[in-house]
Amino acid sequence: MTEEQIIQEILQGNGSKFKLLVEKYQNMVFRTSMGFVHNKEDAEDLTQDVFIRAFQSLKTYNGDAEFSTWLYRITVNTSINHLNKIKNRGLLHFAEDILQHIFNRASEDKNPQQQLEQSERDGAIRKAIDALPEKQRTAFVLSKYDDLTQKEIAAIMQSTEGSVEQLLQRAKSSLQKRLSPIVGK
Amino acid sequence: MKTDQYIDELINREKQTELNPYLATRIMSRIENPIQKTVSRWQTIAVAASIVFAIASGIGLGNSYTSNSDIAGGLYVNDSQIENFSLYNTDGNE
Repeated sequence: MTEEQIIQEILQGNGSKFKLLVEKYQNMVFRTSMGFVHNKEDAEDLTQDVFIRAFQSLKTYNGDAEFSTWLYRITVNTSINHLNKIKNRGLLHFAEDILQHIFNRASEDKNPQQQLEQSERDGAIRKAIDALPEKQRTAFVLSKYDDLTQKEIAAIMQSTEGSVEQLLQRAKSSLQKRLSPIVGK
Repeated sequence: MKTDQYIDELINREKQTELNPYLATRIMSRIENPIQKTVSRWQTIAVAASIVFAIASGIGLGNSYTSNSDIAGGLYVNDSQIENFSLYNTDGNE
């Protein structure tokens, strides 16, 4: 069964077929969300929101772009809206990060000193990614977390390959500038 | 460069985060059973109406009060006549 057939069936009232699309694209949506929020629980919540939004607006999908491109756009918009909502949660987020990395993620072969250094470095990197302007950040996340080509990113962002290339270069140099004194020592 | 290496390392670790295996089921359940509004429209109207009624009753009761300032008389009590202080004065009773 092709994607178009599944979408047609859903639009005709067979909503349970949407599960096929969820199963196919959930990892993609989750990974992109992770790029924006860096936190499993938030990324899962965003993934749910993205699919619910996609289901509710499926009739607006006209097939001009690939379904995955359309879904990526919803993911990016939902993630950015979420980040704008929680902008003032900075300190809490930072504390969450530190705890999460100390207790859950730090690899067992590292001593406490190395674990602390890693969690501080991770925090600095996340902060630097989060501080990127919206478009640079979107291009960066799609490129690094989803391994998309500049052409694919351009289709999602409804832009040109040249401007995506520029965004990625600016994002990279901005991260270098911000992080070199901290992590590159 | 070292910075790039650290960034890629972090991104790879985040990419390896495993998704909840029941997420698809949760999504479908939310789609098939959308969360009902816990407060119905009629409940909201009833609460609003009772607040309006309470305020109106308060205003009505307040307006219905009339002061009886025209009462001419009053009770005059001369406290000094109620009890004679000399009863407690032991000097006079000895």
